[in-house]
Amino acid sequence: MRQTRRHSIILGLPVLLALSAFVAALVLPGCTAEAPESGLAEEDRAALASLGYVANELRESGGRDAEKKVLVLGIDGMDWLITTRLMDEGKLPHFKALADAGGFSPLLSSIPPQSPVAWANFITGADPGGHGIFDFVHRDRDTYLPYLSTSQVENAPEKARVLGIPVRNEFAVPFTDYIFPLAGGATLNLRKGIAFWQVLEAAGVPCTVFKIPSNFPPVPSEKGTTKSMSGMGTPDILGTYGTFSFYTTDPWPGSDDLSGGYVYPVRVEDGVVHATLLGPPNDFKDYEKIEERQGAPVSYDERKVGIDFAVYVDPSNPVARLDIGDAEVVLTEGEFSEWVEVEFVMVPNLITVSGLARFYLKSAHPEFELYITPVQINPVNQVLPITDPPEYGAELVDAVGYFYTQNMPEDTKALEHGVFDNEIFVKQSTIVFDERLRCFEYELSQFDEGLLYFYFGSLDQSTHMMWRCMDVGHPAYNAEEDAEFSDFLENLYVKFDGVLGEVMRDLDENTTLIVLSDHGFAPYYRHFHLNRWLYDEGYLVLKPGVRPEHVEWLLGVDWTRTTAYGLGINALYVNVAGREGQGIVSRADAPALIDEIAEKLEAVRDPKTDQLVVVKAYKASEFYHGPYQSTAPDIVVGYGWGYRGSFKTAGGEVPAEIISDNVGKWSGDHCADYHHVPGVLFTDKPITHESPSLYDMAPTILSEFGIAKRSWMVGRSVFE
Amino acid sequence: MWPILRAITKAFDAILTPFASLHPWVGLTVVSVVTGVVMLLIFGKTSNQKKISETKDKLKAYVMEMWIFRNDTLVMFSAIGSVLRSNVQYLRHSLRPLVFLFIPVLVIMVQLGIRYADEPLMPGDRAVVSVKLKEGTVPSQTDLTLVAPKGVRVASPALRIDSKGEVNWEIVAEQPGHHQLVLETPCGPVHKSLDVGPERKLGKVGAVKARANSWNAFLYPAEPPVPSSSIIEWIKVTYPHRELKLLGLTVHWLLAFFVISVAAGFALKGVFGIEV
Ligand SMILES: [Zn+2]
Repeated sequence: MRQTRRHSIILGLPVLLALSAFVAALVLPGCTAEAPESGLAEEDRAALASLGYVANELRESGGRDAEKKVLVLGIDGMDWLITTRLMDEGKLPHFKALADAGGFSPLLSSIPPQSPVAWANFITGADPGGHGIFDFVHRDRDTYLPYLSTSQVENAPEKARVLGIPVRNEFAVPFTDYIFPLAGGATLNLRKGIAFWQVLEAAGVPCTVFKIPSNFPPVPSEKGTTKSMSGMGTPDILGTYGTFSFYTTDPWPGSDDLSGGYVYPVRVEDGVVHATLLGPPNDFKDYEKIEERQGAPVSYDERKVGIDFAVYVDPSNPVARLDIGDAEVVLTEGEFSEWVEVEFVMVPNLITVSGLARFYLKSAHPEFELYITPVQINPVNQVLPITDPPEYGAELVDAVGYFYTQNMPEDTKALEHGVFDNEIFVKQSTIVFDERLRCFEYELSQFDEGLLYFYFGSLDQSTHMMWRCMDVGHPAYNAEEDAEFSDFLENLYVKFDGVLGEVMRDLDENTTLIVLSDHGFAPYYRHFHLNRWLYDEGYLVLKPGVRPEHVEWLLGVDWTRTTAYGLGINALYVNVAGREGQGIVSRADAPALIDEIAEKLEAVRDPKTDQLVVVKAYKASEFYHGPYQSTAPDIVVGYGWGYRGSFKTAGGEVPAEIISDNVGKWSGDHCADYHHVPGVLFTDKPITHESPSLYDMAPTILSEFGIAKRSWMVGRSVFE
Repeated sequence: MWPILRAITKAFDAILTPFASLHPWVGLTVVSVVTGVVMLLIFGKTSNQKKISETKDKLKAYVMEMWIFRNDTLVMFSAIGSVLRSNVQYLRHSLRPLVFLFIPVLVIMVQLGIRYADEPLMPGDRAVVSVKLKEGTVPSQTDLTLVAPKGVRVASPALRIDSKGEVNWEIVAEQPGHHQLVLETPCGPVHKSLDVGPERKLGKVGAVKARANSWNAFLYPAEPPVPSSSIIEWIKVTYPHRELKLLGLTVHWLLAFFVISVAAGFALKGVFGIEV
């Protein structure tokens, strides 16, 4: 599950080229990086090995029906309650028709109902104990620091092996500051377990898996019969989950320190703005040498490679021209540009990193305001692997043009920070939807055998941000700005009904159609600050002199006196001795402590509403199965309707109050108790399962191809 | 100047029409090979074939001498000197024909340029129309309007860049056709051709329309030049570059042209009995 990081190499200075060719010829053939193991459990290794028998097994049971096809449409965040209401109101005629002719059911999500966890349940047919993803973020057991749970980008290792001999992993070009790592870094897909399409591949079923979450980098196809493009978890070119750039003549207090975006103050001089778009850090420079020479450290930001650009602004018309690289783009105020390829030069004439960006002139006068999307990994020229095989990216671009490749492309951060307003967000998310639709139409036209899984994320991101517009009781509702967008979400459901119409029109009788979502939605009215509650209850203790409001990433916590802490959106951990770096609760005492905390949590009432905040505190030991159970949080908090673990909780903060109003734009959520937020399941044949859950879908898909459920799967086919 | 350029362009139209519907490589290869042969013939006619032959024979002899007396330092040095001298002589003999080759090759390159460098827009494509004004004319104080015919839409207000003497517009191609954009200027309208699909097949695409008798007017002979009396220096449309693919790699048409024509020239020099 690891792939090597690639850099695009273009023809350049012959001398450097010859030099690097010489180096390559000399050392690369026997050169490998010393990367860590992917950490697959014994059970998974055995299961992987057992895939060799799938084809035989299938032959014995009568062989594969080569005509059989399964089309799965994954619509992230499609809510059962809203869907049912809109169907009853006659607004989703195609969904209604599908439900009437086949099956329609709520689909139970994962515990907790977060997308990476939920889709991993779907992918593996196991619960989190079987795939090891329990929350958006996990904590490092030794340091208590958080990391993203689905993937990990590793820098080039210190040592490489040349013909078996460990050496320093770099080749320094004499008389320059440039170095070339002999072995590249790696990107690891941290999801464990086995994907259902790996089983299908073993059975000889060709698959296309488009943007399924928790699959970055994409699981490489052993036989070359699976095409996949990675989705949620895919970074932008900076390695983040999306960092926009905003250039303004009118910066505001605090704009120099935003999460998810950089704001740069600029000036218009003689009708021109000169600025720089920052890219990834340059891995090809010898910073030790540079630091030694200049006698000062080179900061992370200083290591980034920038592209200078100029914007010529008309003296009075709302229009400007942006010159970047070879491209000249005319920007009219209020309109997004097309994708523009931008190249970050790592080594002049030799190594560049290619990315894609769109530009949006928010205002030309009186203030100048320019937004640039997070720079996307170019599918044609991938600096990190986002498709398998790599050529699949170019195939898509040939067919539909460039498109967003990052994680969740709707720029929720820009809206959150006021760089976008509702209208710009709608424009941008419409671009995302339209691009995705073009990809889907292409894949549908190519779909003549096996499995097609296709993922849409628009509904999830839009419901997160725009829930407030249709909920006048929401603390974040602002009648003046939001009223005109009250039907935006409804219209988005209607758009998906149109997509389904297209699918059903061309459906043949050999194809099983499954439309599903990973979870539904609930309002997010009130923040619950779990760490503050733990602090007030005496479980979380700070070092002397540390004020709670100053804690971030749990720094300042006194681990020698702390028994429990929260990290991630739903996760609570006990500070277990021998497991955590500075654990103090013995393994024998832990279960009683977990029971005690769970009981107290389930009794917490919101003083404002007198409502119970937590529906259920799920104890991992009771709900998870499989080899990765031991890495689970001890309690997964199931929040009541309208409540959620706060962003501050996720970031290890201890704010002033236990519960507070959510006045942010991120106004709808699904990290509640999973019973509150069921997804949907539509099929073109009757569903017999009385309460289908996401982990039932992998065995369902396998059984459609005549393949028996695998040993690690906890559910069963919804048709049997 | 324009009547001559137009005649040459017409002639190339006639030559290349049969290839228009074939793969771009076919026409390019044929023109390159023919160019190679023409270059060879011109070289043969304009060079002193006898001198070239003599010089090459001498060169071979000196190289042989170096090999035979490779242990004799003194002879070696004198032979090296002779080799260098013959080389210079050889270059001198080749120089005159190169002067004769220059003009026809340039004309062919220009003709290939307006056919292979760019490809037409497709419906839905966006492009930038840039207008450069004559030295001393200030864009923001000049009344210019871009009028698009049916099938093309002007998608932005006029963008006037005084520091560059330019005015830009964004346009959107909506329907295929050989359109004419009209630029209304204080001294009368100026037309600019705009090619939109329906396919990306080969044809003339004139990215630039420049003032008569300018270098740009010579380089882009796809349409008549801007009259000298106009305040317009040139009008440019940003067409997508045509990508010539060979075994998955993008090859610049100019490189392909040189490699194929030179290779053809060398391969066929025996056939025509010409020393190069
Ligand atoms: Zn979500």
